[in-house]
Amino acid sequence: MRNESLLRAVIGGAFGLVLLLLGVVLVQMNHLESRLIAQGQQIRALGEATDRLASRGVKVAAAGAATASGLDDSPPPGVKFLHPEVPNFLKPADTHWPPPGASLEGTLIRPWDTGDPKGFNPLLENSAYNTELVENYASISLANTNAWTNPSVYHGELAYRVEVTDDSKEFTFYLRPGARWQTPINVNLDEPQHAWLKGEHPVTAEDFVFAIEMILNPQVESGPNRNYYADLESIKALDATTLVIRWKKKAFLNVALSLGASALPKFLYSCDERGVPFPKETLGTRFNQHWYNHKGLVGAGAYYMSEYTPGAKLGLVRNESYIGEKPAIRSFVYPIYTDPTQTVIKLKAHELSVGELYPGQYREEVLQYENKKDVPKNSPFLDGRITCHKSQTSGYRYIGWNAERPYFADKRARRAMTMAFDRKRILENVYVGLGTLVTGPYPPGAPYNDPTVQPIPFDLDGAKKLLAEAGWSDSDGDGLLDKALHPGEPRKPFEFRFLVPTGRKEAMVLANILRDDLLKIGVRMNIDTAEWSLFLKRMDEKNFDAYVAAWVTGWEPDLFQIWHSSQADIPKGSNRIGFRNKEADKIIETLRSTLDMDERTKLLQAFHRLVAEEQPYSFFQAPKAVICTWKEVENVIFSKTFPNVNALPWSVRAAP
Amino acid sequence: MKTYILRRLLLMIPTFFGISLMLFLILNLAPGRPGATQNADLAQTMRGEVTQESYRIFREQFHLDKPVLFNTRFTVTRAEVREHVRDAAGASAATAAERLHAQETLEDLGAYAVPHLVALLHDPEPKLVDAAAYFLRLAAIRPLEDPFNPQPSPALRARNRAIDAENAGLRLLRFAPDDPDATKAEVIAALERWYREHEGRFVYTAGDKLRRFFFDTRFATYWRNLLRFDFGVSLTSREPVVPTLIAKLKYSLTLSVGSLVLAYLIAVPLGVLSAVKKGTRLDRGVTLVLFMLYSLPSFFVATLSLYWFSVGSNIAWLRWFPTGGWASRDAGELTTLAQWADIAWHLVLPMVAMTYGSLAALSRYMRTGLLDVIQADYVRTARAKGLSERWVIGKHALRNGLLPILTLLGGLLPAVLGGSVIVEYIFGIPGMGLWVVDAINQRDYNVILAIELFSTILVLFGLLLTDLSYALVDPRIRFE
Repeated sequence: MRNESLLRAVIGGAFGLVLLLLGVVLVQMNHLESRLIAQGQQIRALGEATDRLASRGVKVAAAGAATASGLDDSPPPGVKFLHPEVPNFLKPADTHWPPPGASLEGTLIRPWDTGDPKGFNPLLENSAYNTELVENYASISLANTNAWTNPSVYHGELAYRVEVTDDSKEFTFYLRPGARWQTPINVNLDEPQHAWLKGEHPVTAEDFVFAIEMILNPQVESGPNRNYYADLESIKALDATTLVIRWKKKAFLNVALSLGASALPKFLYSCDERGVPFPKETLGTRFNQHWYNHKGLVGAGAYYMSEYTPGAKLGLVRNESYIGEKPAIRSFVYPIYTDPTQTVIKLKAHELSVGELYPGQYREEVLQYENKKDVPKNSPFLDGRITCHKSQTSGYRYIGWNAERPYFADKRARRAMTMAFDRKRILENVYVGLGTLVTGPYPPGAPYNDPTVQPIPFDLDGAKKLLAEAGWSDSDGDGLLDKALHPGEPRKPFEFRFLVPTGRKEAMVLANILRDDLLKIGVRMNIDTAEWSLFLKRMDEKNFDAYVAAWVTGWEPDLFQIWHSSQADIPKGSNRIGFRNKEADKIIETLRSTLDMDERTKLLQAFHRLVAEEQPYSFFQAPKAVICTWKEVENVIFSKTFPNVNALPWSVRAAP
Repeated sequence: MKTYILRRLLLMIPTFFGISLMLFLILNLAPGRPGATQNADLAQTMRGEVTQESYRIFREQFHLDKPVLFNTRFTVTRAEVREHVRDAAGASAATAAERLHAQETLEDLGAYAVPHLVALLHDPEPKLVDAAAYFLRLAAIRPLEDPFNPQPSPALRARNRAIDAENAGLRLLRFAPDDPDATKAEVIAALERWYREHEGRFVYTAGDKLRRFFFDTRFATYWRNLLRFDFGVSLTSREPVVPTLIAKLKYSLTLSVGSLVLAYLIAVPLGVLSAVKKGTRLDRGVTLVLFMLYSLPSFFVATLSLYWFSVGSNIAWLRWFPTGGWASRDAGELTTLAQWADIAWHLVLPMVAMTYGSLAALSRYMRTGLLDVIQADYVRTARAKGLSERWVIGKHALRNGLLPILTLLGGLLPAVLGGSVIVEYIFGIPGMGLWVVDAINQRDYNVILAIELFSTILVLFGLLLTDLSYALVDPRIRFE
């Protein structure tokens, strides 16, 4: 009996001793590790300093190239211009960075609230976040638009001179030397099989040729992009810094396609993981499932992608060897999460330095306390620590009327619908004023809006009168208007289905208000909801009477896709409302081959007048986004085109 | 015992096959299709629309152009093909939906439609000729053989080069509807020449037909890959499914095992307490509180806990926990120990949100289990021996009372893998639950199938373990 308790005590003691030792070892390891980490940070800081020193040299060189480019037209030494008589198509950049006196050490933390990205290959992935938050900063183009001032003017990024010759069919680009592709990330470069990725890979004209070759490769899944290049005749790299793009005919779209072309790192995407080039015949198929697609994006822009941890975060760091102007903000961090409604708490917790609020959240956090006395304490939204900006986005919400349905074939009926659609009230009350009313398909403030177009007033009596003109009357006294839709048929009541995508609160309220107003003039509207993918399917099949949706457009939308009558006949076309108008077709076709800006403005205004008259859509509003920034974020200005939140000119005061 | 286990293991194979067949059928027959893009904002970009052509390439790469279970496409008749071509060309009264359907059917038919399309090149209706030439060009294009082979043999490369060259030639054989008749005639002649050269490819012997009937299908292709332990790549991200699954498992497993342990640690003592103090106010109070917790939906509690107890809280002294995520943004800079602490700190709220709901059921099981035992003879004997109440419950009754809720564990195995969708979504933890919901929304068949088949295996083994544990616990049960 005593022996047993003795044994127990010994075992217990030994156990305790082991635990104690384990604890000591753990503490020591922890100590050692923290010292290692600190050392690592020191070493990295040293490396960065040298990086910055080295980059200063590059900066001078780049500045030299810039003076040789936009401003005076003499070729740099060793380069011979092919068409020296042609003026440079590029204009100087209007917006410059870094802002004077701004900190160059700041970090901007922005949300990535759509869960893990599906990949980073810029030809295959065109999710808004990839384009806006990664490609916008990391990829390198020939030229960029002056997005903050006049988005129809281009300044050079990699190209310093562009010659447009042969009736605007040939574009010759001269590229700055010295741009390099970043080292790939999420790859262990110390493994012998990845040794081929080390070293410098310059960005050359070949990389632009490769990008377009991939778009045109029949096996590559870039169908939407490929259609744009149907008129491409050839693209050739004359040498590493000279690129010639030739089109079969003169077209406005070709300017944007040529100047905005992005490079794709050929050294990476043409090889498998061990650096063996893909056989030519399987290149396209392999490209679709390239081993690097979900690891990151290899870029050469103002920033490069420096880290990606699935489910956690994505990071970009300023590219100190970038050939253009270097922005003020040193790094971007995008925490990845999945519930976009959490953005507001993360903003409050200062885990984000910039974030977007939904209309409902904006009302709850900011608007409801405006001009009120008892505001909650501690909310950074109300004590000036966070500023909320309303940023105009390019795009518009609208109601589409299916012109192939007998109710909406008559433009008077469509106009009556717009009259019964209380746009102002809905914008003010439902969308809490976050938007600008529009009367046509262009962004507010664009010169293409015809100033003579007057908005159609909200006028139920006028709507009733218009419907009466179109032959609608209440013949059986049931309160609903009716009409024989085809001669000789019995009269049918004006009753249609209105399609709303599910889960869009504001759209649903809009539909309810419209329904109530329409009922007042004897039109019955039944609301029909469909989950987004089903909604799109019904659009493709043209299986709807009317619907509410939105288009995201550029500064100057390509009217062809949505408005040309040929697009109404192809399945899945974007002219799903069946808008067919000979005059519109003519304007659109002329626009396609007109490059002169004044001429274009006239034509675009004419088109604006035409759609305002025809009312194929009830144009509603161009949404404004509520972008909230913490006080350390400075020089906040918004671009006129997508992405409107473009942080290149911004700066962030670094934490002390 | 051994033969029993062996028999059960062997029986798993046909069960697994049957379940995979069921899953496959349900998935493929469910409405919706992979490749339709999701958009959160009711807005569409003009560039972003998936056009018909990309979608065709997509279907080809993932074998979605093949029939699901049995392939009878070699029986397609000329009249049927003509009807489809008429619909697709818009020459009939077909609606837009029917046109789309006809177009996709023709694209899926692929090579099987070639002889009929060739015949249609001389159809009296000119619109049909145009459409037939278009679809013939698509149908004639052959996929490459084994394109992902990292080291293609010279023979394979030669074959693929030949296919590629033939495809490139075919792609040139096109004309626009308003081209002059002479151009059209030239292209049509070239297409017919091509067909005469390769006519043999489109004649099927009885053996061919039989093989194709069973094996040229989605299901057979999937199983062919499965036998090589190849679960394929995700249809949306193009990443191989299995490594992603293993990466996701880390998050879900930590969360669910953690909350399971937490649940047992809390529920068992509560159950014991209720059993010992049966019928008292304490027992009723515990029951009431637990059932109140049970009836609170977890999405509500999770969101509320974030609003109250996270750093973003409006109440200054309640800002205790982070606003979600798995680890801090700069966790890479921390020591291992600090990283663990950081993860633990992040997991407090999600763990609570996952645990509180299961307490009621578990503690009830414990309570009933213990009550059964307390009335047993041997417990009475123990009491009669004069042992203290604590000794009686803790040493004699508890061990046996625990049995029912321990055997419950076997059945919980698949749930452990499944993860919790709601908690993962709200707290932004990139685990299995979120992944599977995302996959279902995107109709990502490969991901859904891989996850379901994994949990099938877990269920099968979980059931076996439960049965075996009965035998271990209760010597009266014997498996022979």
